[in-house]
Amino acid sequence: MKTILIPVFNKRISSRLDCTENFQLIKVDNDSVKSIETVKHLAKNQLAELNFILSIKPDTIICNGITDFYTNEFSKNRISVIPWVHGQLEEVVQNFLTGKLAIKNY
Amino acid sequence: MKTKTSKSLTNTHAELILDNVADGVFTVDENLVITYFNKAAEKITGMPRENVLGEYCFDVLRSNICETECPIRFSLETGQDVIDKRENILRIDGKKIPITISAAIVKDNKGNMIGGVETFRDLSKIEALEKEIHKKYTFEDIISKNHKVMQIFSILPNISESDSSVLIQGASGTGKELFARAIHNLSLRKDGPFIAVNCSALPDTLIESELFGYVKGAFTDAVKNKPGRFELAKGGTIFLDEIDSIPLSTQVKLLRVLQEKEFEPLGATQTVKADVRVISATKDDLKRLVRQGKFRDDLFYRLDVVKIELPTLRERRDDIPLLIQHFIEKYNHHMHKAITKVSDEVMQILLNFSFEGNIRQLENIIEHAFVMCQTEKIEIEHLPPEIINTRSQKEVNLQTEIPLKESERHTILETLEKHHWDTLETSIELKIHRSTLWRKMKKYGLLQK
Repeated sequence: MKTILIPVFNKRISSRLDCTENFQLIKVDNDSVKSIETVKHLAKNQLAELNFILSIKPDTIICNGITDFYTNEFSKNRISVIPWVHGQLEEVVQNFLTGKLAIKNY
Repeated sequence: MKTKTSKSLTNTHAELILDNVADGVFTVDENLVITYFNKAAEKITGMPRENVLGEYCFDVLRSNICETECPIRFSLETGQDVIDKRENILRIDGKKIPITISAAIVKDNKGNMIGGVETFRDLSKIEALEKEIHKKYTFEDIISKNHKVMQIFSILPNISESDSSVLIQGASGTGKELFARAIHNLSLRKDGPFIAVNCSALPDTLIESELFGYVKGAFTDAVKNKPGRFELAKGGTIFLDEIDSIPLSTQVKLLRVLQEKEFEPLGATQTVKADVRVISATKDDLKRLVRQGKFRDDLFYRLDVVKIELPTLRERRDDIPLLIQHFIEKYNHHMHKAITKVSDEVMQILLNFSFEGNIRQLENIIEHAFVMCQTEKIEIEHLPPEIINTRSQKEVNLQTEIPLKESERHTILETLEKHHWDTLETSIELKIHRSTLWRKMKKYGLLQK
């Protein structure tokens, strides 16, 4: 079972991981979704937000904008990150499960 | 994925003008889909025009207020302009770019609203200067990937949220003030003042009046009231650096501020409330000073509610390449140079250097190299002579001495210096008996010191 964390805004991937309040925690096993949980977290600052995410211990984070500071922290904590992804949440999750998640390299 | 068909700006003359302005300009339709993106916008965001046309602006700009206070959404909903709103966007390489943004609606020839326009200006250089002048440093200005520093990062939010006193202990040049400012800027007091006081720079006779102020007539030269640093720090944070230098007589008064949250300026009959958070710092071991009777134990326990111990640069050698790159970027900006890196040989020297002066010393070395270097790469000859000499000496030592013995001698010498040649403190830290320490000092010729 793997835990995927996705920052969301209006059913879309949030534009910035460090500025979001809403997350979807998706438990995935054998390429299928086992559970979906919505988590709201009002962080007072970005360091608190980062510590909150680290406390969840996700296996993978799918997000759009991410600061290099966050990227380094996740790398050190062995959390894989699929960044710069945008679009509807449902579509992104489906693409992830089928291995078709297109990471847009601008 | 293209979400909408883009409506290109057809007026080529207007496009030509917009492509030659320094500010980023883009237009959106009523659904916030980008219809035009000028060259400056490409440069600031790092996103080519062909990739962003037809995308939602929030997916491209990634501003910190896209989801909460979007300026263009506000303009489209109210018809009002937004002028010079300060925010930051996230560039495609993960760097935050501070900008000011203005937004307005766009109407067609018949006066119908067809979308909006945003202009934005890169404030990176201005913010860097502001940061240096006002020292508005945050945790993001602390350059590190070292696990000891990361442990401190993990507790910084909790420390910042509380109003407890903080004691920062670290050798000279380890960044005590930077951490103090980061704590202040994360705290609820961040909009209040941050007053830094170097206690060792104030003479004993002046320190009390400097900290607590005085009223007119308190002494011969007191011709008018003067607020002290505690009063100036009202609603904010006071940072007392080198707290160990405070004389015992002032320590009593400082203790009262921490206990009662009030003080009396010199000559005053009324008390003043102290709405201040105290962060103190020392390079000395305050506990040792308490044992020696040079520092009040009750004050020590009041200051030492939360303690942060900063590692020396020797303890975080893995940060040296990061810090070198940071200082190269800083001095390229200051000295208008285009140095890209240090040579492999210089990197090796710096990775093995002892750095008694810690990060400040590393910065000084890079600054010295910048003055001497006229090429794109810093080479050995650009380093200060003492660094090159140390290297030569080390090479000689390696040829003549057994490395293990040299390493033991170096460790003992370093620990002795740290504890001001106090053999009891040194033996405690080295976890050896005092007589063993004495024998080793004799063996390595350290007794005469």
